[in-house]
Amino acid sequence: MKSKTEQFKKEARRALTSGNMQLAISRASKRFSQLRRQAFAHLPEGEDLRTRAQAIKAEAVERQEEYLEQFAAAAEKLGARVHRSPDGADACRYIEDLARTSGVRMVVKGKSMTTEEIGLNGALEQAGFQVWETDLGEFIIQLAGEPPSHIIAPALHKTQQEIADLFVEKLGVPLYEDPQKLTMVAREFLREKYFQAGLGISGANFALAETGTIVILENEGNARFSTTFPRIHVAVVGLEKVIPGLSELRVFLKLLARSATGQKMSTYVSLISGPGRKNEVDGPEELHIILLDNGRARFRQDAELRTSLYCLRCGACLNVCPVYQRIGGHAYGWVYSGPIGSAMTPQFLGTLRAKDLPLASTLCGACAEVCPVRIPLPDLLLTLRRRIVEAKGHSGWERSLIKGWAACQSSPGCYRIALELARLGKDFVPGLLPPGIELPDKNFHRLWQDEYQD
Amino acid sequence: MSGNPPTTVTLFIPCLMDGLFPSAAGDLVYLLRRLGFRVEYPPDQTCCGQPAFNQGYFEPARKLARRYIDIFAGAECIVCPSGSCTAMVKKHYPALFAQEPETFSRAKALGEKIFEASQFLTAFVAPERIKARFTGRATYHDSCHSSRGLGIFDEPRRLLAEVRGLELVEMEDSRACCGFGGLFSKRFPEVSQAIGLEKIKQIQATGAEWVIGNDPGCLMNIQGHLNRLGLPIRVKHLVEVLGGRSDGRGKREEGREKEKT
Amino acid sequence: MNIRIELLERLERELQALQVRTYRASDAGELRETLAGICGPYDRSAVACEDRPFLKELDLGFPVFSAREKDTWRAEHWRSMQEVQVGLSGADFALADTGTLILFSGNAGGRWLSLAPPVHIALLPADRILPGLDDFLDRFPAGDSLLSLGSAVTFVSGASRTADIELNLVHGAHGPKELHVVTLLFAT
Repeated sequence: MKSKTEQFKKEARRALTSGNMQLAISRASKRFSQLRRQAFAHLPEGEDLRTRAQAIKAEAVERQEEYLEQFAAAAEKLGARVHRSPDGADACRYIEDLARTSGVRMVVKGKSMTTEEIGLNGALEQAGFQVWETDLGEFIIQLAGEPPSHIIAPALHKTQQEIADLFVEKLGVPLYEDPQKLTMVAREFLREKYFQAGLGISGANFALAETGTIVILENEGNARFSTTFPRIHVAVVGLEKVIPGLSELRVFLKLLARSATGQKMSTYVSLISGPGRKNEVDGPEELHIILLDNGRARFRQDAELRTSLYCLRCGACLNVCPVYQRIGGHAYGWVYSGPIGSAMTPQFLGTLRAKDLPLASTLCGACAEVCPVRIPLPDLLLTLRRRIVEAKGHSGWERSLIKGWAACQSSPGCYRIALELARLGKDFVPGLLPPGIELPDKNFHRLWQDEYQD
Repeated sequence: MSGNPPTTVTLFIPCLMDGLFPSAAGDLVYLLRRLGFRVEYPPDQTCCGQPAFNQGYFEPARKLARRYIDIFAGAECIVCPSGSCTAMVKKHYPALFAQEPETFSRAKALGEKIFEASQFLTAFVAPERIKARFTGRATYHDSCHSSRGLGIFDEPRRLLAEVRGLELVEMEDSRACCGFGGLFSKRFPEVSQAIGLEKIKQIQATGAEWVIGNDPGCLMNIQGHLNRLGLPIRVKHLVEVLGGRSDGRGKREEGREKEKT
Repeated sequence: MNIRIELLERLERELQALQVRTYRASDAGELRETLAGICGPYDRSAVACEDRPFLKELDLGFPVFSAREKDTWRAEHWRSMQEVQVGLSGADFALADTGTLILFSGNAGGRWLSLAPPVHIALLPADRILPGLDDFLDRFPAGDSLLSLGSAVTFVSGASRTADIELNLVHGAHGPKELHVVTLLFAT
């Protein structure tokens, strides 16, 4: 996916002034975080589970290579083909080649942020394949030609009216104005695609090393369709998705849906082990699993930021983030938004290219408080901020200002003079202080001297 | 209450408190002395380095941290009327010196004896001894670094519950950020303002005349929004309410003369 | 048959919270009546029954659907999908505390009857209700014993749902619009 991370400030301002969208985002994120809170209130072992989940991820990332080998061997034994892709271009090429040699013309996709990350839709369309997103939210934004605005609710920013108009324009259906009817339009439209498509693409929430199983969580059933009916199923799986096995999976199954939508369990959890079998009538004939690096091996070597690889893509940190709540996902300019996006995007695209992202946080810590794998998000943002400074990413003016400020703060005399100057000069420097804020005549240094000193 | 109360309290008055809320800091001195503590204030103290640290300028922050550690190392107990500056010393100083074992252990030791004001008061003083009086309807804003950073939530409420005349009304999501974030509010003013306005909505919904908090940065930010909107609501620092020298209308009940210790 | 009534009640409560309709049948006769009730609005030929031994033995009188040829199943499914309104499946296990059914594709001879038709009815033997996820996973200590259950082990908690349009909850985004669970209180 093309990035616009450099335009964060502009896009954020634009989002703030787009009334409808702003309202939709703040309403939805509030609702999601409320549902999460209620779900955890009924899960006394929730905090303990988060600690265990973090420990499992830490170990799995530490021994990642070992687990990936074990996973690949087990999956191949089941008849799957496993391919390691160093980058997105390789993964796209693999799928294009596979589709071409298999005579595929149409491709259906289940929701997958990883395929957004590598720009798979664009690559396949350019190569002449027809691609259909099947998750309702993804389908809507595909028709609209927009990127997702939330990890789990990609069309969260669109109003019902906009969707109704979009369906009239793109699908030639009458104007329906209730969500039920609009959903049925998508259901009927996409249903035949599952049968026409030769290839179904999915992501995976987990890959189990022990058994070579991939695990997919969803609510709509479109991922089940996409991984059941087309002749070939391709799963694009980030390297960090591998965990040891079933006994680790249980911890995540208890946390993921609760963190994302407040559900005790996602409507459908599919544990897929190899292609369809002889004693089963349906299921794909071929299963290809692409283990995607695309920078992840590099992130893993980065001791300060590696915890970002623990992310389950639940979206909980977005929902509670005061910045995300106001500006939504598009302003972040790439696939991943909110706090986790601000921590990951600079790793994917380069610290300076996405430097506004880690800066665009109040460090309020609400994200770390809800993360199901306890990623210390504010600490990651601070590390990235330090790296921006180290790479001289700020203007010379700002750097001198901070330097001068620190020098002044190192001298009590200078500090006191600065306090006086702020009092005297605040009316001459607009924006130095918020409106109507007065600095009293005597600061505490002087007050102490005059009134309180023993 | 926990442990033996210290005899001497060393005040750390962060720069924003120093410049913006000096009389509230004075109220804290008055209160601590009234409760029987000896109060010290090292006059060479300046900023703890948080503004630089939060923007990733770790070197300048280290420089100020070293200075701070030298100044406060000898204190028996440090009390600070700001959650975020307390968190800076307690949590981030040790992290800044991870590679310097000696300074690291000094930072760690300092972190163990610094308390945010409400933490200190609930730890060492029976709340009913404070005997504060403050007339009016107020709501409490939980600053991020105080509530999430230091785990403070009940402490200010326990203290405020004992204040005569005060009606405390909880706002929705009192732990939500006010949008200040130090230099964040300068880098992204529109976003900061939008977050702040959400906070103001919750404050307004309580019908409170006062917003009480324990962080001068947030209080300044919130007051700025209230002023911009022309709302008659005012901010008050927690220690100002507990100091008990103002009646809630800004009038001093007692003189500002030095308290006898 | 050993039925733990408190588990059954918990399961039903959780299912109902997910807008799933629940029924109990004490014998084959009651089951037939219950099914007749649910399938009332539909033609008998619009109901397809999974190819599972215990369902066959129950002799419910609905056509058993199983594609005959491995290479033509897609065409067959597509054709029958135009007609089949109700999919009748078994359930291999259920988890009481989350309102979850667990379906093994290996036992069901495939995946589609619990997915494609607008109405899904699952027949659940009462002794297959477990308290929760741990109790299910503990049955597979070796891990790879999971692999014998089929290419897809699916946990189903409620009917297909989406909230992608302004957070309005809609059932039947792709999968079933309705889910009915009939617990069988007799040996099957």
